[in-house]
Amino acid sequence: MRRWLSIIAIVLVSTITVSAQTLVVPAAANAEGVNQTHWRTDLQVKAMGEEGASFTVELLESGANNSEPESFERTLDAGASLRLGNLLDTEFGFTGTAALRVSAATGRILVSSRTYNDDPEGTYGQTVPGIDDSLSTSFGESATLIQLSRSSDPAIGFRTNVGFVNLTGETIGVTVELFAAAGSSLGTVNRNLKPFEHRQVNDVFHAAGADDVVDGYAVVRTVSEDGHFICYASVVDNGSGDAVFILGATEADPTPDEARLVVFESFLRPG
Amino acid sequence: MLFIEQDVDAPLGGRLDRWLAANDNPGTIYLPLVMTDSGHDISNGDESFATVYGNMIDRSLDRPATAGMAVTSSRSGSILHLEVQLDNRSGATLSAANDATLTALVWQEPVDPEAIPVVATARTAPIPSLVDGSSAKIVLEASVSALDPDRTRWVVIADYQPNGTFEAYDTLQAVTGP
Repeated sequence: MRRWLSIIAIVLVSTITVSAQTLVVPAAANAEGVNQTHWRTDLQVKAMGEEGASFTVELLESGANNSEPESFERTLDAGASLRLGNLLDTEFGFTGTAALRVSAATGRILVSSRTYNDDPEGTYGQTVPGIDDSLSTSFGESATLIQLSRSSDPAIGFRTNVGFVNLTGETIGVTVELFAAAGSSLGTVNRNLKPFEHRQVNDVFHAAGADDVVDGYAVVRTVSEDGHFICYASVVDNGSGDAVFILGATEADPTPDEARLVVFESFLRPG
Repeated sequence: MLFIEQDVDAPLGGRLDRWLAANDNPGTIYLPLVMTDSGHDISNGDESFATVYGNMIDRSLDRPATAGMAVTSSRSGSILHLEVQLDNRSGATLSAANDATLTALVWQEPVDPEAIPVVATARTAPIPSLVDGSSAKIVLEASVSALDPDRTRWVVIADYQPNGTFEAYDTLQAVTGP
């Protein structure tokens, strides 16, 4: 049974249809994990429609101000698809974790990725989609992450990592409130994100002070009026290292009811 | 939170009618007659004022407004001009059928800050047929020649009878100024 910690396990099989020109892959890695694991990310980009596409890939390093990110450009013929294997290393020469921002200058593109443990006996990991702006979360909205768990015994059960990408050029604050399945609050984790920063909070239930959580969920908001972000959870099986990627489901916060002016009227005889 | 008072023998703006519409007690009633939310909640007589009135106010505070309202006021000579923007969020169509009404009550601010203001004049206007989710602009004009311009105060109350002609009124929203 393989155990691995510390590095996100990420991947998916994404079929998001792209209508926007900029998509964000919110987690990627070129890093060594525990138990001799080797985390890598392959990025897939396809030109959609009947025209070719040109695009830029930018590296949004974890924990960094990414106002001026490293980048490279590629072009695709009509109908063509391109796989960029372990691109954090091969294209950026970067070691660590990050998010990727993929912007189409011409044409339309579809983006997906797989982050996996590059084990010689066979890889495993999770797919992380390229996410467009319609799936992001702004001030006045919340993103809900479900299907979360935590075991206080690191040999069994699951652990949950929650990650964010700041989509603005300003520092923003985000809060993660964690709940048990029945809706009782288990605690809150607050983080500030630098411009375009990717950040992941590993074992987020532990960070919030919670112990064992069989079935939980998280609600993520920004406290910054101009805040705009993507968030996700990676829920990892402590025993096998298998992980699932969960994208935050965004909805607008309810508008508070407008207060009523209370008019207390009395009728009496003067004097 | 606004306290206002009227002479029960010379009521203005149809407000006493709201209290009477809400009263279903056939017995004797005693002064003072009091109400919140245009008669949604009423009381009368000598009571444990702090408790009874406090509870009425608390109940009203717990009820959200069912209309949005913004009022722009101006005074030209002896005329107070109130332009009301009303957004119906009641879930019902407001119209003459449920006696949907705008009432402006005007008074002069008492010199004693502890004193409850007494309504000096009032104007009413029917709310034109207004389906839920729609808006209307309604103008009220009141003669305020007897009132000191610097101490003239007003409240505009939007209300209607949600449960029929012989039932209590309810306030949609109210705005006071200036």
